[in-house]
Amino acid sequence: MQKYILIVLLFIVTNELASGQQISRVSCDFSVKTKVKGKAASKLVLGTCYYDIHVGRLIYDIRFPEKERWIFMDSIQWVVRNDSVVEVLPASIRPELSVMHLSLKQELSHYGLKNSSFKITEVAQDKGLVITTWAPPAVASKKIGKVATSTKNKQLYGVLFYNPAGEIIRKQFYQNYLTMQGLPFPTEVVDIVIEEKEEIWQQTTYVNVKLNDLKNSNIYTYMPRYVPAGKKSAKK
Amino acid sequence: MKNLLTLAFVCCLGLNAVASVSADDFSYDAVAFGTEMTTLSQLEQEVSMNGFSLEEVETSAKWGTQLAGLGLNQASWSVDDMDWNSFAWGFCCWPVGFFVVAIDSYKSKDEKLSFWIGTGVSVVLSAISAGVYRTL
Repeated sequence: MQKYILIVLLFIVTNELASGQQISRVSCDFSVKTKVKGKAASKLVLGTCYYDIHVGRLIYDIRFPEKERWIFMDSIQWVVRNDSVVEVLPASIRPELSVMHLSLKQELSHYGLKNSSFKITEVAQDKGLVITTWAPPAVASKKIGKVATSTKNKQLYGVLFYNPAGEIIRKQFYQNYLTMQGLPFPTEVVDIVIEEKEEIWQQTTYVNVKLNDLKNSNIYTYMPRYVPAGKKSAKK
Repeated sequence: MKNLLTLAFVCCLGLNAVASVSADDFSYDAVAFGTEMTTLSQLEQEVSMNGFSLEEVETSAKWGTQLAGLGLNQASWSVDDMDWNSFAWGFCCWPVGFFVVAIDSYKSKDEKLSFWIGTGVSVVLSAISAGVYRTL
């Protein structure tokens, strides 16, 4: 009898230890370089980002070009300066589609599409890449096109976004993976947006990646002061 | 005949097996990309090492001229950025709009700029119409 109790206790303790080691936070320094191909227009943003999967808010502490904090939650982005909200915008990044969230959830290899309403229509292998084509749900197929993901060595290599006419409108490449505590994390993301007359090129680099950072808890859980309804900026 | 049918079937199967998305689609000109990003990469290094602010970069001898007109902070303003509600406040009723838009800290730069453009247009048109009225 004592033997069984010991086994059960051992099971509980190991289970607790395993869940305690679950990775739920990631922070890193980042740089985003944006350039319109062949033109002078460009942008540089430097800062540190924080993400806690249980909180679900993506926090960007920007130090260049201006010291401010961007908070992405659901479809909203708050811009905070000196602890006051100065702007509320439609989010340019959805936290659940960010590299941080997808890496922590170990869903980066399929870009989170496995748990979405997109359905796999084709899987092929070409030049060392495993290419998966995902069709949008029928109700949205007139507005959004298919998505294709490719993996190399079981790690996400690229994502292609198409318009309903079947033309590529965006390309993303995930490179220079870092593996920490068994968690693959791309330290470079190349994003190419193809518009009618121009291409917007963006390179995001992540350095000093830290997992389960116990410091800075106040930043991970940061919430801007209450923003009254109707105070959203109309800017798109 | 049977062989021909088999061949046709194999050909059809081969055509169907061709993926609609190929590995070539997952490519980009990495060299051109790197070249385009050179200036920004150099600036990133300098800012990271020296902790420069945007103002320091714009006024520095090295970067001031090199990055002139780059619009580092944001793209230049265009009519597409106009917020027509704020414009209407400035154009139709600027005294109220001043409190609703101009001094509201939650309003964006574009909204405030749109308000002032609306006010400016209103003042100019009022001055012209007043001048025309007096001459008549």
